[in-house]
Amino acid sequence: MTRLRCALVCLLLLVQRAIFAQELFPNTEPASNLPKGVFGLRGAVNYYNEAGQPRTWTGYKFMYGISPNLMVWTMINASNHHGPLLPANFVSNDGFIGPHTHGGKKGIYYPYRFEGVHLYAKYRFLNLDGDHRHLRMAAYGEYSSSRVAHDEAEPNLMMGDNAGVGGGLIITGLYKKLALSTTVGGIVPFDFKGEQEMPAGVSSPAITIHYGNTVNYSLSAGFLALPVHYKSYEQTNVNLYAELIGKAYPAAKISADGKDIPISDALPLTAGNYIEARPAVQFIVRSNLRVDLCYAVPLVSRSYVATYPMYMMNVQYYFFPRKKNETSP
Amino acid sequence: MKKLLFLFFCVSAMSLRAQFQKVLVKVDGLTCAACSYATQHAILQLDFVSDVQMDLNTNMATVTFKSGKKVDIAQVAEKVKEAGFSVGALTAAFDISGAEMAESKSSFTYKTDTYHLLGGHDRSLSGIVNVKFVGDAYMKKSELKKWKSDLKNAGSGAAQGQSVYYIAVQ
Repeated sequence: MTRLRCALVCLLLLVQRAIFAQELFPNTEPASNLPKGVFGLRGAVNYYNEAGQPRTWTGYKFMYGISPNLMVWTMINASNHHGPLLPANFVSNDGFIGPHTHGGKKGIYYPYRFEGVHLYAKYRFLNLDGDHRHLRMAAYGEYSSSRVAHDEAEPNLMMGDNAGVGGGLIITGLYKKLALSTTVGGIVPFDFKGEQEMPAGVSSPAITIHYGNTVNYSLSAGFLALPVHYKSYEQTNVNLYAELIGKAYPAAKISADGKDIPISDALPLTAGNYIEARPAVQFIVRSNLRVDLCYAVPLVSRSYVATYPMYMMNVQYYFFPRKKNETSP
Repeated sequence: MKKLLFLFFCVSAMSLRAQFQKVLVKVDGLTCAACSYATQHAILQLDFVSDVQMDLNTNMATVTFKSGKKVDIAQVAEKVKEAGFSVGALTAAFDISGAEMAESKSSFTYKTDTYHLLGGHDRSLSGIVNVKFVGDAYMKKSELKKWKSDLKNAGSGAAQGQSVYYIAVQ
């Protein structure tokens, strides 16, 4: 709770310091959309060290604004977080859970591989604009394919850990110095059906992992730190963000050759409910090139699909439709 | 804000050569330079626009038109909407002396488009007149409510291919 208090104090200090609020959140989507006809490209990297094993995830996101109210993206992602098969002896000979990637045997090596495709659509259905303020609401839907054996109960569609569908609501409000955005969504992951690594010549049991329906939620705040006064598009903007990301999920249900396997005390496979704090700094160069630097630490409980701290970086650029003219203020 | 508008009208009055050279658009909902940049790019897509100057602190866009090109004000407002924002106010300085006034003096035609004057003014208009565009695409809803009865009583007739605008003298 001390960490929670510190986070809230930092948030209040930022609010007092800020001149304009910002809503280009590094870890969550605002209810605002990409402008119509604009194509956006984002490269994202996520890194953490797991018992000496560097874990890296990268995503390449292709975004497009279909209308002022509707935007879509396709993200292709790759990582060395999991393999195509579950770890050897994931289900042991005696019918219990053995080694699993981020828990029972941390630091299992996997080569870097393509994980899956994430599709996302967001529809803004409320837009109340005012002078330096707005209130927006949007609904989103997402789908993800996955070709990795995710041996944790917590599902993650965006990072390609799980195949599944999801959806939710986003509310973003901005008034002078304070921009707040909240997301509440649900994830319905698809089951994993596959095998575990086995010695040569030995066949694997048919393993099914059922991940439970999950609630995801977030609260984000953003502030413009620099420049103090806008003069031109050439000024590099520095934005500060504080985001709280949470998820609540039930325990995984595992079966091998149709027989239920008890998950006992394997924490990554048990039910979880956690909140991460993700402070970030963002640079916007020439009003278009966006660079986010962010890290994640656990605030309430923790996620078991990663080790902390987790470092993230996003680089994003918008491509506007061909212009007839070009000017600067 | 009033001072800024006054300054704009003074400057535009001095520099106006064509009857209808530029408009001032107050963009609502803008919160950052990147958003202003996107809005500027959206308006610049219009082939009759020669220049867009954004004031990043006040979120005012000064949109200058190409001379000799037909101007479609509705499209300027539509581009702001496509960028994801709203028009809080849209104002212009008209050199009305060359426009073809209707007998009733409540409307005039300019470059084939019809402009209905709202507000029940009873003076003859001449020279440069500062006007604001009235309609849900051009102002806040709270401001639009004030013009509800004027819009109801105003004419609407226009030939095919013409645009009809409702304006009020400031």
